[in-house]
Amino acid sequence: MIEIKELSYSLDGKEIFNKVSAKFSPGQIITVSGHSGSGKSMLLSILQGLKLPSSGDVLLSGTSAICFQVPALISNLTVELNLLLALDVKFPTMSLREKVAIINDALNDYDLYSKKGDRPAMLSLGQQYLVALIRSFIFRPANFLWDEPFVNIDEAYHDKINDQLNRLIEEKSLVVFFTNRKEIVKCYGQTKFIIEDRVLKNYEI
Amino acid sequence: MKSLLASKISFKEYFADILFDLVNIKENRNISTSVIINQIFFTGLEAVTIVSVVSLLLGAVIIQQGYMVLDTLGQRTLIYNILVSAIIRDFGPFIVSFIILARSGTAISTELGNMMINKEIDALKAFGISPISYIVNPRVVGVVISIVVLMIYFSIFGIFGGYLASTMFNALPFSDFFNNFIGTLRLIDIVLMITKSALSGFAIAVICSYHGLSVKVASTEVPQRNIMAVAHSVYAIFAVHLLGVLAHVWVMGLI
Repeated sequence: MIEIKELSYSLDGKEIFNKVSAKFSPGQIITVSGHSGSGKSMLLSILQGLKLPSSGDVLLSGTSAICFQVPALISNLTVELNLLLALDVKFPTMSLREKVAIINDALNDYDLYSKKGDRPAMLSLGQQYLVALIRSFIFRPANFLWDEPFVNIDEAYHDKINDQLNRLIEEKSLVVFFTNRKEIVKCYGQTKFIIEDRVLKNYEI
Repeated sequence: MKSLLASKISFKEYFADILFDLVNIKENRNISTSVIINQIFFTGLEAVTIVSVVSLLLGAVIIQQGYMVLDTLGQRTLIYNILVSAIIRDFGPFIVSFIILARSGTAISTELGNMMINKEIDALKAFGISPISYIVNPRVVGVVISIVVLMIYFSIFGIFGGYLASTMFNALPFSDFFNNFIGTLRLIDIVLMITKSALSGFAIAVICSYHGLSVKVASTEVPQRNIMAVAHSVYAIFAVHLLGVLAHVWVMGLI
């Protein structure tokens, strides 16, 4: 669950958010839309604690995973080690053999098993996004935040990704999409928010 | 629930975080031994060639110049004092610190700056991995270990270079040369050599990491931060060595 309390944020003297309050309840997909430059990515960074709000607070329960607009894989680690890093944090007591088995299964699902020893720069951009998604899914987060979902992802993998998202919802995780694509909002948004005039508004299409 | 009001930190808080994390290094499961080993390999092992050449030449030049001057004064034996001061206690740690800054300090600052731009650091934070534990401290530990080992290596090669040059003036057996040198060497010289090297390495790694992590959005910030990292590290190296000189003067006054 994520709760935003009277959050304001200014950048270089320009106000981006003005006393935004909202509550994102778990077990659903929430969409946050808004035109380009409205502050969607900024809100995602604030929700994840990567940026400090000017005032207000964000309360967050459970672990979080995040998919940015860039893959953001650790460039000097192989695909396998990138995934292992996430598992090491989430499941410190799990044996290495179990972790490797989870990684192998996940990579097999997305036809990336042969790339497990490669560094991110050796993969195509689409493959890097897939690895970033796998990293989030195997982390089994309580909150999964995805900036511009499905962009740069091969359509052949959309069904598999949908299965993973459904699994997260069944596990009562919170999934938040930050997007300006109406079809994504219509198709996935169970609760819809839009950023307009520096505030976050709840709405229905 | 946890409040997320966190993020932006000053150098003081950053430094405090590093110290706290190092003190609790045993309990920290994010600390990466592979990053430490890679850092030792890059900072220590790959710098062996340049350190060997510089120390060999420095030892030789000191002896060659020293003999010429001291011989006219009839004070040849003072050459060992100069060798201890130049190679072991004062000049050696200074030169090795600059070699480490030029090779590893700039590399750390550039690498972390690029990781910031590619959002790799944000990704680590998002997954609950502390960049201090996973990125900074393994580099700090790696650089400190490397610089101390390199300094010992520098001393050995410097002494050997000094011996080679001395044979041009006075064909002493190596054992005699070495015994005279050891006779001049005191415990305080070795303690200061190790302390100054370790503190310089610590300062270089901490300052260069801080500037690398201070890059925000533009790739043009990387070289700008690199320049600041070098400038601040140079100040830190001078400060450490000045304190070393003062400590030496103080200890000698006590003896």
